[in-house]
Amino acid sequence: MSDTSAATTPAPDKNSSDELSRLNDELQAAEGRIMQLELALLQSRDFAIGAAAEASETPILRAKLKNLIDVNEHNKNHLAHIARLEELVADLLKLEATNKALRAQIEGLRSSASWRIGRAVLLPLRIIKRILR
Amino acid sequence: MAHRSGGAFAVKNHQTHFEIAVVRPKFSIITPVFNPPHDAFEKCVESVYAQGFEDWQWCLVDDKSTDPRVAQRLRELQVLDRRIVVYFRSENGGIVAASNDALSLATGEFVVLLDNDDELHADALIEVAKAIETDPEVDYIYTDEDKITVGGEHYDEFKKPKWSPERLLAHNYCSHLSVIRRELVDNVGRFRDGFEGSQDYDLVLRVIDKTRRIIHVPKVLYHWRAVEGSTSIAVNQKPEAFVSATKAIKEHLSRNNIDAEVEEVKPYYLSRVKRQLKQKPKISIIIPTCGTKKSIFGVETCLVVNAVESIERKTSYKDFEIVVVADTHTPPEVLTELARVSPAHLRVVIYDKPFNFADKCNLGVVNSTAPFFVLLNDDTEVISGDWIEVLLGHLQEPDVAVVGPMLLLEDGRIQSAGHSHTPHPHNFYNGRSSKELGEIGILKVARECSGVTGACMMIKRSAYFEVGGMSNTFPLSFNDVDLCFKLLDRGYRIIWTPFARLFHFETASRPNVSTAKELELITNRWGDRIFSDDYCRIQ
Repeated sequence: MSDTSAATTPAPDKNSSDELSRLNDELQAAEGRIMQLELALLQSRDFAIGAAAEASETPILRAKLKNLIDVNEHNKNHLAHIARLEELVADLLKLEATNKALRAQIEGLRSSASWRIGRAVLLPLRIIKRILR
Repeated sequence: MAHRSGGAFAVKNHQTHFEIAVVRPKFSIITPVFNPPHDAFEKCVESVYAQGFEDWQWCLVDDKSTDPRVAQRLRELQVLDRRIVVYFRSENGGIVAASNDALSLATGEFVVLLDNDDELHADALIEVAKAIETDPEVDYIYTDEDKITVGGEHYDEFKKPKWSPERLLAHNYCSHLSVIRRELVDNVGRFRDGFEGSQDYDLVLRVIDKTRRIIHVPKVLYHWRAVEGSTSIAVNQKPEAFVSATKAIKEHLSRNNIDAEVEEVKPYYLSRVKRQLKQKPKISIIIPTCGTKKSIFGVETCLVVNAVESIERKTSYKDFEIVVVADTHTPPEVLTELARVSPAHLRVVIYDKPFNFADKCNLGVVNSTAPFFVLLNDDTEVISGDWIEVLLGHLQEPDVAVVGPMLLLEDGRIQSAGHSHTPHPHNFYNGRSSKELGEIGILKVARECSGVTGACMMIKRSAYFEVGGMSNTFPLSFNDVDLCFKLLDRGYRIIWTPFARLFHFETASRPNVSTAKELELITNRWGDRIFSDDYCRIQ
């Protein structure tokens, strides 16, 4: 009996050892898979929370963008207005120069001998006109 | 007795932009009076009359002042305005008795605490009324304050943090101006004898046992007169007030079943609440590394070996594991040395992807087993032996998710006293002396903050998983800032404590650079919150 028992003992030991080894391998593989899943879970949650945070920021960013567009539009209008004013100032300066030249011509005419003779000749006529008024 | 100024628009013309809701609060200003300096009291009276919001009642109780002018002036005021109610005590009973007598006169929905020599800002009541309008169920409102000299000069503006219950256990930071729902004040038993000098602190601590509907108005609405003998000049002017404060804190902790000792932070008259650990769970310490060497204290040192060695040598907490997440190119001799210095606690996990600090931390976390873990840079070194006990103590609170310690540079200056986002994310008090008190004791008290550095933070595992851990979107910088924002958004608190200390040989293991891309990404996620901080409004 004991001999038989002794002869058969190693077989179950080897089997259980193999089984244990196999189970250990499976356990390690399962643990590895759990870790991978945990990492994937972390990433998914982070993605969802990050996306939600970005989404809640979107209206604020939109409002900011609209504000920037408004400011930009205002600035554009302002710049166009300044450009128009500058054009007008340039026109005004040209007119002023023309005006100045014409005044100089008038002054030249008034100081000429023919103008002064003409004024002297017409002086009696101007006096009579004033008296009649 | 009391007069209600009629109509729904009892607001002066210059404030008519503020429309009052259908349910309008009425304030009872509570002022115990005892021999106030004449000029200061007149300024106090002027400040009440200057209120833009006129629906108030002023309950003044003369605590048998020995100066006959006081009673005379109070009688004049009572005749002058029906909203002013005065009671003359037949004998001097002290501030608690006088304050409680004033509360007995109050009919308002909210009580406003005003000392007889201080001033309210002209907009004080209207700003508080606005705050109440935003949350009509609010029970307690506190505001910023400053100090004012006898000559009327303002100084020491205190920009207070948003509601910070941990900080309130260190000192009465809420102080002035405090406005509390009267029903609640009556419900908790008003002011108590035996807490003279800190009777208002004791009242607030009992009020917060009953409510968390608390609003901070970030505007200076109270001017605290600095007169000789007042705690406005220095707390040590009234040491008995600190004794009362300690008693009030102990009773608050007892009521809330928090097993803790209250110690004095000398010589500042601040308190430290030292929580006893209910349980001593296993702690995982996760250290990402690539085995860098660097000169520390003049000696060429392998950073991670030094960090692990300091943990083993100094940590008094027994049940911990160390999970080192090592890059594939970590020198084998470093791993051998680690196994030598930490034979019982060490596990090494190999990280075989391109550098991503957040991903490395996450890998360490999934390879760890404890319900609480520490993310620790390899360029750190333990100073306080009880660092784990201190950090873990705070995590016993259910709504605390993260705790960070005081981190010091090699030369003893501060590397990080938590994060501040005013005006942009940075390590608070970086480069300043660790011996500094900080503004209103901010460096000497445990307090709530918007974040702590990922160089050393203890985290609740459940909270970490709830928010998806560190974001791989931020491989180098801002991963800690992002994690803290995610936790704050879920309603968790983040605590920084000066009572656990470690060295952080900053950027010894990698350069301290943040990319423009990461800044853009973090701004896209969290917007302007990146550039302002309700917990830390000072720069």
